[in-house]
Amino acid sequence: MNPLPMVWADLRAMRWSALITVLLIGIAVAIGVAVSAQERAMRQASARASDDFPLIIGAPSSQTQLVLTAVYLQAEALPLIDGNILNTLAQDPRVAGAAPLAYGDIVQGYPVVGTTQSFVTRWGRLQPIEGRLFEQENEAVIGFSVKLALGDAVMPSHGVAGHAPTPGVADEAEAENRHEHTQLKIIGRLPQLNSPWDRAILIPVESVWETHGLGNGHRMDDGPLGPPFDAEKVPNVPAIVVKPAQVAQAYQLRSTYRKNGTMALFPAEVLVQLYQTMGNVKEWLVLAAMINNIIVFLAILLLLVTLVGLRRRRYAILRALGATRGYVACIVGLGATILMTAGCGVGLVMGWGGAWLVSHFLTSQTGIVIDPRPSMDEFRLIGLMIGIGSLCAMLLAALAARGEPTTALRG
Amino acid sequence: MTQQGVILSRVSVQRRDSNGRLFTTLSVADLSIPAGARIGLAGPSGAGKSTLLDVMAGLLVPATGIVTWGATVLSDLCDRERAVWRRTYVGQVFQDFLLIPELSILANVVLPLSFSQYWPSGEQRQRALDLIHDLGLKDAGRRAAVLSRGEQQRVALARALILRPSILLADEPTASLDQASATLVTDLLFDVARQHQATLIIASHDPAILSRMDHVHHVVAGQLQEAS
Repeated sequence: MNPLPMVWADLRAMRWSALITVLLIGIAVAIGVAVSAQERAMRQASARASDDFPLIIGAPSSQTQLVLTAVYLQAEALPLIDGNILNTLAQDPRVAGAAPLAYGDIVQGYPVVGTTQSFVTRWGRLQPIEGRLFEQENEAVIGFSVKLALGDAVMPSHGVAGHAPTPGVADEAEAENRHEHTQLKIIGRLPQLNSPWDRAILIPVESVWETHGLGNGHRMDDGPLGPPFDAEKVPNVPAIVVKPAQVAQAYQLRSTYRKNGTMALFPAEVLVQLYQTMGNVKEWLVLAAMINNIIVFLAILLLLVTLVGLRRRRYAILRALGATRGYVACIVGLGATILMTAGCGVGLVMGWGGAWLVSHFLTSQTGIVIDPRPSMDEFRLIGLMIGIGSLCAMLLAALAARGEPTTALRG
Repeated sequence: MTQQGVILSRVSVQRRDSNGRLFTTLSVADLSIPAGARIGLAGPSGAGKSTLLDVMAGLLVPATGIVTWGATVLSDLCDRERAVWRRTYVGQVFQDFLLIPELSILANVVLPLSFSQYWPSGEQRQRALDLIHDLGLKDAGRRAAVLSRGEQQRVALARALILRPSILLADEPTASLDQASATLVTDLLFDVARQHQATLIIASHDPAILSRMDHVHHVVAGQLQEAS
């Protein structure tokens, strides 16, 4: 038995209906695939971006905001904590490394972050791919994606509350708020981190303090950069990133700095809470997508039932010529399965394409490189859809094969 | 080729009217057609000629009675067995051709082969091309949808003959054809029936066809009249 010639003839006869059917199924499936792939990619990308921030200490406020500002460089004014904590941490045996993070300024829309050399290298893990690390207050190391060249001299501007700068664009607000007395020289570029830090300009924290008239945090004006800072002169800072010596000590440190006017958190922990919220949203979105899929499948099933009804005579011809009911059922079932499988395939490609486009947009907005990749989740969804589609196809096949051929042939 | 004659005994076909009541549309007390005979079925439209052909083709199961072709009692066969029997022994030509418009001439002709095998053998394909050629059809790759009515009927005839049937059933095969096409189709039906010693049964109003038959049975209001 070879049903393919008749399946081909059927698909050709209903080519426009077939095309619309495939597209409708494709769109329905694409929504589910895109939601799943996008959510997973965002989760992975955001987790990857927080890898270098084991513990963050800040002033008591919103934990989420502290993570968003410290890890994802979302411009927001944070309350400050005592800069002396840096010295305390530097002497704490439970701490492998601690660095201040001072935000607020921008250069051509890129956030300027004041910190230490050791954090720039992520405690020795990174080295500049061009140039070198900063050694003086007026030197800056740029992230991989910053569109500035080594040797460029730039002037930072004070960030304005409520103003969202566009990376790479020096707008009017930036021009109006320049720190005219500060000039930074670009002397190094970091490798790609696939995080918002690829768009950051890193300078010595002393430079940030000096720019804002707070001194340099040291007793001497021209002393070496970085810790230890002078207990009497060190200014307050928005956040401190801490690398604990051991995992168990991370929990001790978090406990220690959860009181006395500070807040300590594991960004990963905050992200898990966010993921739980996102997960709930995802579940609702997936449910909505599934309901959407079921409605589309039902509509298509009705369309195909109508088409099978219109083709009763065609199938009666085959029966009259000697085809069994099984042959007719095979044609109808196979045709419907081909349409639904093709629709699922189109949906898979459209879904991933959609997720890729959304990711591309989000990357351009946030700097977090979101890379949606195919996963078993989508294949499971497609498998489920094809399974449902095949059941529908069997129903159609049974419908087409029933009845006496003479009824359809003679009307 | 197994020659087969048909015997219908006390056959009746019933249908339901719009009120759901059963009524008899065909009643045949006794009909015997010998193997290799050429039999015409005449009678007014709606008299039951097509129904009788359907019963003989095993497409319609009578409410009562027995239909026997050679050693095969159709009423003893299940639906699937009747389908297999039909495609093995019966070549049918319908009044309105019943081609698949999206398929080519060749694909329509070899379509019955696809019910039992994957691809036609080389010999079967050649036979299909020969039939197409003998029927005066050109370009076997043309789709059936673009053929004239005469061409469509010739394709339908080639399709009926592809499996060398021992029974040829034709329902008004020339009803919608011009004179030349009608003559061609009729000649071919008779030639093939003679070559293969097939039993040929044609339902028709066409005196030219009926005059070439060994016997003509008249069907009037579902009742079979005496042969002429």
